[in-house]
Amino acid sequence: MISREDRTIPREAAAEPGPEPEPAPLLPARMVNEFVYCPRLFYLEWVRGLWADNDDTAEGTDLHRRVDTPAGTAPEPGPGVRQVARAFELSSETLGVTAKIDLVEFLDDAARPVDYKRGRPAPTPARVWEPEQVQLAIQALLLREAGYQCREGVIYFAETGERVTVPITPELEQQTLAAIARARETAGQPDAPPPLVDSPKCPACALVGYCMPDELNLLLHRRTARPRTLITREPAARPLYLIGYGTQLRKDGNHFIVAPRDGEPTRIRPIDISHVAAFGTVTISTSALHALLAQETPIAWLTRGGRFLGLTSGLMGKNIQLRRRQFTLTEPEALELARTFVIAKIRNQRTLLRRNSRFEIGRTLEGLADAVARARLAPDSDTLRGIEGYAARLYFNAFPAMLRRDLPFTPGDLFRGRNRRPPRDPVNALLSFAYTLLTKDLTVQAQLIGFDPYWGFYHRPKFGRPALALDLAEEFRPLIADSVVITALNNGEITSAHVRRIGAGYTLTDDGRRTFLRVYERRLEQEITHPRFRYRLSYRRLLDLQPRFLAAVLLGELPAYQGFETR
Amino acid sequence: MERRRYLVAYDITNDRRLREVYREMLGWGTRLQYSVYLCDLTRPELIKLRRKLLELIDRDDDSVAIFDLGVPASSRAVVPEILGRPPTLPRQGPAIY
Repeated sequence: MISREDRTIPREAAAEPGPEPEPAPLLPARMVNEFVYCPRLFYLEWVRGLWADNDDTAEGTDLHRRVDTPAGTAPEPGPGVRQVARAFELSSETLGVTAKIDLVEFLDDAARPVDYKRGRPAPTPARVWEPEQVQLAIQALLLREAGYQCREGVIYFAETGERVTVPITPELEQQTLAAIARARETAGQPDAPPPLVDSPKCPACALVGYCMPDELNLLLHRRTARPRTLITREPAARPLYLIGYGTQLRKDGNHFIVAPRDGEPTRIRPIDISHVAAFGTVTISTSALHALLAQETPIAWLTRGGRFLGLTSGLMGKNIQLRRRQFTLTEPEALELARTFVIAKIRNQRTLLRRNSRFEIGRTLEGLADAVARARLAPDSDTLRGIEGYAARLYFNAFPAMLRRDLPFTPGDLFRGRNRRPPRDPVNALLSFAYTLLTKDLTVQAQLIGFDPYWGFYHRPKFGRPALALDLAEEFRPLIADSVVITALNNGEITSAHVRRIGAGYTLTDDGRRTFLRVYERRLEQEITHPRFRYRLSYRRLLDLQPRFLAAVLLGELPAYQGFETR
Repeated sequence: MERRRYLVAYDITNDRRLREVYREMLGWGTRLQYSVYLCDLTRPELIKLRRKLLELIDRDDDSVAIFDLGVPASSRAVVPEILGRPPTLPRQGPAIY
C-alpha cells in the first residue's frame, strides 16, 4: 500500500538543505469565483480538497470539451480581431492568482478575454452574476499585467448563444482585488466559514450533501424553519454482497460480472455498487479490484463466519484536518463524545424494550434510566465502560421479552444472555452477525468522509479493530442491529434451518446469511421522521449523516455531538 | 439522488461502431430488445452516458433516441407492455449472491 505521503513528497526535495518557507499557492480565478458565490464552498473545495460532480459541473465539462476543440460552437471573432488563443494560461505572483482563459481575442495591442458559461444571461441589469464578473476581471488584470490593454471582457452563454460584454471598471477592479484578498485570508484559516443561511444557491450546489447547510444552521440556531430537503436524496447505489463459496466477481468491458459457482452469471453496472462486502472464499479479479478502486468503491473483507477483517479502499480522503483533529482531541473532549455514544445507546435500548416487550419489564426500564443518569456524571471512560456493561446485562436479560414465545427453536437453547466468540445460541449468532454488518457499514462511511476508522474516542484502538466505527455504531446497535434480529425471528424469516451448531458455537448457513442480509438491508431502507429536522429519511441516510455530524463537531462547526434517538 | 428510467434505442450504420456502442450500453442498463435498453440513471449518470455515446457514434449517420419513462416503481412511470418473451428489468435494491 503506497501511503499518500510517499506519493506527494518529491524525491529531490529531501536533498535540499534547510526548509524553504512555502509560498501560498496561486489561487485559480475559478476558485475566487467560488469564493464570491459562497465562501464555505470555496473553503471545502480549495482547502479540504473536496470535489463532487453535480449536473452543472458535468454539463460544464461537456461544454469545455467543445471549447477545447475548434468546432463550430465557438463564437465568430469580432471586427478587427487579429488573432485568437484558446485555453490561454496566465499567472501572477503579484496578484497571487492564476487563470486558464477559454478564449482571448487579440486586437493590435489590446486583448479581450472570453469566458464560456453554460446557461443563459442573468436576469439582472448587468446580465452577468457577480462571481462571473470577478472571474472575468481577474483574467483582464492578468492580461494587463502581461502588457496588453484590456478594457472589457466577454461572457459567452452557450444556451442562448449570446455574447455579453462586461466593462472592467475601476469599481469592479477594487471589488475583485478585495475578493482575492478575502479568499486568501479565508484559505489560511483553520475553520471553514459557516454555511449560507436559507440561500437559494444551496439546492444546486454539488457539495450540499457534505455541507448540510440547513441542518447545521438549525443545530447552531441560525435558522428555525424545518430544513429544506436538500440532502435526503438517497444515494442510488447499493451494497454488493458476495457470500457463496467460490463466487467470482470479474470485470467484463465496462461492467462487472458476478458468477456463483453453480449458477447463472449476472451483469452488474458499476454505478449500482456503493461498496462490496466479500465473505470468505470469494474471488475478486484484479481488474475488477482496479475498476472498483478507480471509482472509489471500497471493498470490505469478512471471514465466512462473518468476522470483519478490513477494508480495501483507495488512498484516504484529502480531509487531513479532520484526521488531525481526530488524533489531537484532548482527553476531556474524547470523554464527552464517549458519553454521548453510550447515553444514546442505552436510551435507544430502553426505547426498543419499551416498544417491543411482550410482558412487564418496568424494573429493567428503571434500571436503564438510572444507568443513563449515572453515565451523565461518569468522571472517566472506565466508569463509563462499567455503566455500559451494567446496562447491557439488564438489557440482554430482558431481551427474550421481545421475542415471540412460540419460535421454532428448542426451548431454552434460543438465548442465554449475550455471549460471543463463539456465539453459544442462535440469537447470539444473529446479534454478532448484525453488529458485524453495522460496523462494516460505518467503517465504509467513516473512511469515505475522511476519518481514520481505526482511531476512536470510546473504544480503545486494538490492532485491526475499527474503533471509530464501533463508537459510531453504539447508538445504532439497538435501532438497527437488535431490531433486525427481533424482526427476522418474529416474522419467521430466520428459522432453525438457517442456523448450524459447530462445536460449542452456533453459526448461520449461507442461506441464513442471505436471508438475514435481506432483512438488514430492508431495515436500512426504512424511513423515519427525524426528531430534530422533522423530515423523513432512511436509516441508510442516517448512517451517513451521523458520522458527518461527528466530523462537523471535530472541525469546530458544531458545539456538541448528539446521538440519534428515536422516541 | 433519484434515478429515473430511460429507454435508449439506437440505430448505428457501421458494424464496428455498433459493436462499440453495444459494449458501452452493457454498462448502463439491461437489454430489452436488439438496440433497445432500459437504464435507471440519475441525472449526472444520464449526462455521462450521453457524453460517451456522442464520442462513439457518427453524428451524421447514426442516431440514438432517449425516452424518459419516469421514476421506476412510481404510479406515473411509463411501463412498456411486452408481448412474448418476458423482459429482464433493471435490478433495484441490494445485490446478494
